[in-house]
Amino acid sequence: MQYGIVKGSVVATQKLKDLSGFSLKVVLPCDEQRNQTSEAIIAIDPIGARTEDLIMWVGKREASLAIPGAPLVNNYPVDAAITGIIDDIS
Amino acid sequence: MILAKVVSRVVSTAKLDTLPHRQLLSVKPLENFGEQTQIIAIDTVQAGPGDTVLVMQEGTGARQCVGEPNTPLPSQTVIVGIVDEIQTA
Repeated sequence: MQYGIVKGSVVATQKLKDLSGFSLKVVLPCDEQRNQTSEAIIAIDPIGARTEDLIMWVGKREASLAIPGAPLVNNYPVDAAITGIIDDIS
Repeated sequence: MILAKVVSRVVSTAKLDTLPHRQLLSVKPLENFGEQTQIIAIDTVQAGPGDTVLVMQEGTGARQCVGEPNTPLPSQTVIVGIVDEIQTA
């Protein structure tokens, strides 16, 4: 998983049925010091992170497994997902 | 798998239920093992800061290491070994 900062949310009323009910966030991939490492991405957020939260996120196929109750084999059209809000790095 | 150095422990209270109850460690890939940005890995071998570790970065293998192979695991990065020694020619 990678570090990221939540920069805002995205509202899309017209979207695929499989994506309904999930909030979408703008995430800036970063390092542990909050320095940006690559371009922004849109990730689904099953956790409820807030703007400026330091989070961890997962990309690729495993992102679809972040959807609560998702089976191992699924067709969720998701390529990035927030997996947790980071409280502390020690 | 890659080699990486454990830098610190990561605490996350609000996280997905499907992530296992294991510690999360921030690891930095060693030189020549990819981007030098720290990533967050699930620990299965009780590693700690300062250890050089083997990190797997593939979803199916990660799932098999962490527990039930058929339980969805929303992560690709798992620490699977602590390195004692590296010999290079």
